[in-house]
Amino acid sequence: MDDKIGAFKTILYALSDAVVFVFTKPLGMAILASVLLLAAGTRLWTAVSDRRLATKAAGEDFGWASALGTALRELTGLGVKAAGSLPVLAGIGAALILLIGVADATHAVDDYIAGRKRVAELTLTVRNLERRYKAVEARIDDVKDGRIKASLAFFNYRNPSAPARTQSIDIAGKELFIDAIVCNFDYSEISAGRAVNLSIPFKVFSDEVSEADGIVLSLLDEKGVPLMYRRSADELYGIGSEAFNTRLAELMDSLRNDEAARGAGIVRSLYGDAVHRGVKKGDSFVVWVEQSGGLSVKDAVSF
Amino acid sequence: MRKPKGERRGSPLLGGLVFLVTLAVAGYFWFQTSAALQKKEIAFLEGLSTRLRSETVPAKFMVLSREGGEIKARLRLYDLASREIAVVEKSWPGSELYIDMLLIPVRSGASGRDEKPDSWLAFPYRIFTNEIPAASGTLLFETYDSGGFPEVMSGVNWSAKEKSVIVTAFAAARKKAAVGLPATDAAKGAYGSAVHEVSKLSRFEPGIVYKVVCRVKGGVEIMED
Repeated sequence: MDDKIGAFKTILYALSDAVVFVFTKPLGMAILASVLLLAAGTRLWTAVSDRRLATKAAGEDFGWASALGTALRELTGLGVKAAGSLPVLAGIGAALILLIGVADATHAVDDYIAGRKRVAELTLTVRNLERRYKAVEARIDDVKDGRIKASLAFFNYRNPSAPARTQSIDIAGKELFIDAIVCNFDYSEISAGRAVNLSIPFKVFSDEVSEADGIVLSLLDEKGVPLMYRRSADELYGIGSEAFNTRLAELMDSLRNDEAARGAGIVRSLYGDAVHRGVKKGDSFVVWVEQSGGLSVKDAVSF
Repeated sequence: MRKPKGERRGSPLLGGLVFLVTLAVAGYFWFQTSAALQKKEIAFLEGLSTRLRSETVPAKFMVLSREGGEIKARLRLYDLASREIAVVEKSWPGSELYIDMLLIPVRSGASGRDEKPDSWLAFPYRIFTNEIPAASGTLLFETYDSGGFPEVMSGVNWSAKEKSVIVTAFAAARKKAAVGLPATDAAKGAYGSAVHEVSKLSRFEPGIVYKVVCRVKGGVEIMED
């Protein structure tokens, strides 16, 4: 059915384009005028020739005046015939205008349908890029005597309502750094919804404690898979938990191997990002994984 | 009942024709309006999509060497027209380099502070490593402070109002940095983002130039230049 409609449209557009070309473009009008002139000329030539032959057969002279008279008579005849055909010509004109109108309307409808598809694609792209996932929520329990006491909750992006794990820390300083590995995928993958930028928090340090002396977050299982990305068997659909965990381990392995990740052509950037804020008792903030790239920090109460 | 003689009835054909023409004209205008609205929506979504991906590159760096437990690197700062404005070359103890950016929220709405930020201004803040605390790192503000205006934001024809917003944001950034990023003050919601290499995962190769990419939406990335 679509093929038939497509073929019909092709013919319709071709006819419409031809009509528009012939009646509106200078070249088209010149060609049309040439054809009409040629036809009229041929007609006159034929009429004058026939008349000359008949006159000669009758033994009479056929001079310029006779030829001109014959041509004028033929032209008048043509004009009368054309005038007689005016209703038909008007009908043809109306049909051609209708043809162009239908073709234009079909074009407009096609454009509108294409526009709807484009709106849907762009809406999805924007939605995917605007999306962000909660990675860590930090609650500052106390800041006293140059030490920060905080509770950290780590989230799985598929289940933002409940933390996958929590951990309490106690560290010297007044500015808390949460360090994470960040993996940003290609924009084409993100905007199409085929990939989600990932973040794996792995350490906490402060403005006064170097990263090397920071607190390691024990978020990896024995296979090196972040606990927050693990699923229980009843959370999985269409894949066994063992197979899921194996695939996840493979993915994490490829992320750890920079060359393999880049070779796969889907990882845009892979690096560490220690986001940080100065803190006071009672503060609460969230580290988000932005799908446009990177991490951001927002007040917990803002969302 | 018989109609009085001579009474004229309207032609049903003419009525139908008028109805069809009215319907066609109404349909035409409805379609034109819908198509115009659709074009506006597409333009808006395309603009939004582009804005979400928009980025600035205020800094590029290259690791020069890793010797004797030290890492030597060169950092170049750029304005928005990609013109180089400063170079910092130094050695730091450690094996992983951290480039710290300070992100200040900008809210263009009338109600100001309570609104969600429209965008984030990223200022190069300091450099440190995995072995020295951030507080002992090399501060960068002085290298691009031009009478209170951050040169990393020059290279664009800002209006006086925009310039004032940038100067205010930079002053807030400097104030925050001076007192260790307290959680409450003028630039509420500001945060730092120290992007770095991870030895076991992704190292900065000596001789390769990396760029610090700052997204309008707030994230900071490191990418090979």
